[in-house]
Amino acid sequence: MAKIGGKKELLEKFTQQEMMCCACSRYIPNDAIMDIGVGLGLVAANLAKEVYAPDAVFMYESGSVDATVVGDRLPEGIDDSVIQADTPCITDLLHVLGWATMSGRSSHTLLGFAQVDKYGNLNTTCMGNYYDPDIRFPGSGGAHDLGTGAVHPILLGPQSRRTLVDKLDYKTTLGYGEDGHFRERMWYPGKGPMVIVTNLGEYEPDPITHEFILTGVMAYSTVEECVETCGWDLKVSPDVKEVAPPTEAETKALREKLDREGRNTGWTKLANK
Amino acid sequence: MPQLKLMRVEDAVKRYIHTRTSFSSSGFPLCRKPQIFWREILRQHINDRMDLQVISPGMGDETNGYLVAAGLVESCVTVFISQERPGTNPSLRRSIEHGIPRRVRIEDYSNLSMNTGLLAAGLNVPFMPCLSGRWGDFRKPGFGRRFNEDGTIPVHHYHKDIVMKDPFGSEVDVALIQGIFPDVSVLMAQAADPYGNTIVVGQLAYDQWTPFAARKHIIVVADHIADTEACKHFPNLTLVPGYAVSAVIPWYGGSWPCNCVGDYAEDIEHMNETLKRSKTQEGAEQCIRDYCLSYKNHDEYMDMIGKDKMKALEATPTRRLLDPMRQWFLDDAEVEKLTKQAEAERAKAEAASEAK
Repeated sequence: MAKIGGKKELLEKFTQQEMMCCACSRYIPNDAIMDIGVGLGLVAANLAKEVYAPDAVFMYESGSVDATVVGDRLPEGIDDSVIQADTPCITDLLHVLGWATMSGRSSHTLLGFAQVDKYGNLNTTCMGNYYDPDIRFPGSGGAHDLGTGAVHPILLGPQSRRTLVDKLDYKTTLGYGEDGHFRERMWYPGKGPMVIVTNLGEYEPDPITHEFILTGVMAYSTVEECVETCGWDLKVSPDVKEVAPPTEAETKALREKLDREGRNTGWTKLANK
Repeated sequence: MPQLKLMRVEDAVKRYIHTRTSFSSSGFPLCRKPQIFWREILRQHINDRMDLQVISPGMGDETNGYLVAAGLVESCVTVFISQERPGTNPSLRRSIEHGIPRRVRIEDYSNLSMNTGLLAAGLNVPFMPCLSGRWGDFRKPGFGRRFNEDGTIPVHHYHKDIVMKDPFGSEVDVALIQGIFPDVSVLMAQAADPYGNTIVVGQLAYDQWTPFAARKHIIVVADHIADTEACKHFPNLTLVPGYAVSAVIPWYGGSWPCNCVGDYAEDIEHMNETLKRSKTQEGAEQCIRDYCLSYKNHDEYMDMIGKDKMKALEATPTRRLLDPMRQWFLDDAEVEKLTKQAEAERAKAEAASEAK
């Protein structure tokens, strides 16, 4: 296998959060109908709209459909006023998550996580015992519904042995279930997560077992780093590739439009931007 | 003549919020929440235990955090304890992780399953099937439901969602989501007429059905009181008909620091400040004093927000959503006159009722 990754010097030019946004955005096609959540996923979705998928329709579960963001900042949440001033349709949650998502009309979504296991199941609820938790996280929001119904969920989050785990502390959102085959036993509109994007690599499900394996390494990372910081016995695809660093168009859209102050990706703190 | 529904916020809290009342909230973490109503609960009950149950998809907002920090809440039914980008509410975390000042019990849902439970209650059925809730730990035991008038909160040790196969033969498995029945539903609205017809614009989130889940009362907090002509020109925007509403509380700015689109944007600066200050119990308690107990009337409340701050929030591009309706908004003097008239009518009706 040719040596891939390891170009640490790249981290002087862009941040790992920028890299995650870029990697996620490349998975979103122009005909996507997307459920949009909060956090870094919201930045990634808007980056896709700027660079790869200008015709994508964005739905916010609180009711705005095909909204144009008004003003000079991204929404602070999915119910921000900046996505309620220039939209042809505002409806309710039962429409977006009930009708559109559960009928398989939502093609893609981006879901963050506090923990993910090898079958792409997510925890966004707590660490420790649910009834007496060590750390309480925000909860599901719409993540459980989007994991159930959106056809191609994209998962993103930071990588460590505490976040990529063998066993979840709380099962919030279905990936492929505890044995990788839960979706086959019960009918689901969604097909299950298509990729996990972390700050170190990309992981795609094995087509038979649905166990996530390493298929991409961020250009500044290495296979070894991905394996060492994964909480399950990670398999590496023989075709593992290097994930290209941010392109000029991606960087321009992020830094000049979507995240000018670097609040989401932290790029303004770079010494050599 | 239909009944006038106008009521002052202090009277509404006295009348409808008691020990162990279960109430639901409109809106979403940043959007259209009746914050002024929660502030009034704190003003009247700051030293009481109350054992309230809060049913709210977003529990992370400023005043829900204060209710928990003040120890007024026994349990909450929710899906999310964060205020989105501004962050997770430290008062909720402190209560859940460390039991300070007391441990609030949480019943977690996803957005669709919780909305389905409220829809079931709105349709007065005990449960509703849903594709969400068939997998994962949401199926851990829930609180059970309070069908008894004594207000006790039983803990039922069975999975709160039951999965069953379609009895009509499609082979599809569904989760049966129990109805979520608050005693009182409090709805923040842009406008209502004096008789309770309630106009909502912008995102509805859960609110197509949440108000109707209430077993006893629907309470409306309205930024504006409008002539009924506003409803008649846009009848599809009347979310709740007047006959269903028990009280309309006129209070411009009642959703602050959350947005009320058409009127003002979300105050992210204030959310960030109060979440930061709430990182300690003492900080949260000081915030309660500063933002719930400090004002005496609406004028002082608006001074507390700050005139320049409010002006900036009102420069929202969403104003166009409400512009066609502004011609029918009543001025403060007219609203005060109608409120006094409503109070007199209520007193007369109650006296007649007692005489019987």
